[in-house]
Amino acid sequence: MIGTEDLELLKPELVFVDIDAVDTEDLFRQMQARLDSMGYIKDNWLDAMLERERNYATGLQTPTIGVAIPHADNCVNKAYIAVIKPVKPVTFQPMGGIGDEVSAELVINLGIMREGGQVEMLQALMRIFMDDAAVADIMAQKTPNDLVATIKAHLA
Amino acid sequence: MKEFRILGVCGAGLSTSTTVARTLQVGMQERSMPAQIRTCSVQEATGTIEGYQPDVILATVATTSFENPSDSKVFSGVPLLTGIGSDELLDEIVDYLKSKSA
Repeated sequence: MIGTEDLELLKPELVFVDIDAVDTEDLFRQMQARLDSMGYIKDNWLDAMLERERNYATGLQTPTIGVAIPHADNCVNKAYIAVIKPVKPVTFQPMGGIGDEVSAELVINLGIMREGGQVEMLQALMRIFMDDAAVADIMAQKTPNDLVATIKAHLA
Repeated sequence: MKEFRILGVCGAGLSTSTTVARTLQVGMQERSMPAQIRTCSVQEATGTIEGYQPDVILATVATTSFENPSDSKVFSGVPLLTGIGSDELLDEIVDYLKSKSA
């Protein structure tokens, strides 16, 4: 179901397991430093992300864990999907303004380009989040390489 | 049966609305309800609703964040992303569409 091209969006250089952030702004700042050094994002990325999150929050409480899928358009140089497993959960507001604040243990940042494969990937990831065993397996991984391998195994 | 029109609305009209709309389309197929989908950003929503006249709108932004100039029924699409309450929502939408076409 997930094409090779989409699977290629998941790579260890875009998986961060060592970010310790006090809030979403802190998280985005730390992500910006890393994504910018690899050339994925434009100068307006941080402002665009903060504004989007403020206006249209992206916290999602799934049956298993809290996740967030922050993203913004027109601030990306090349399509990417970054996966962040923060050192401690980061509080996000709930998408659609419904429900409680979400304590996000996993953050997926979609670097969106039109005609990109990110939508298929988002859909597939959301399916994984509904599966207790898959989530437990993914959350048990400690390194970017292991996280990528485990997520890919559950996508296949 | 008439083909129903579904509109997904999200902040940019790219990712979450498309994800929600596709999940809905699969759910409609499973329930034998023919449906076509379109997505747009919240900024485009009012104009798109006027032109497209969707039967159902699924929003991943607050349902109060855009004007709805038609009689389209607006649902939160978030359950289709999280899986919590997604079957119930799909059944509710099907019931609504059936009552509308009856």
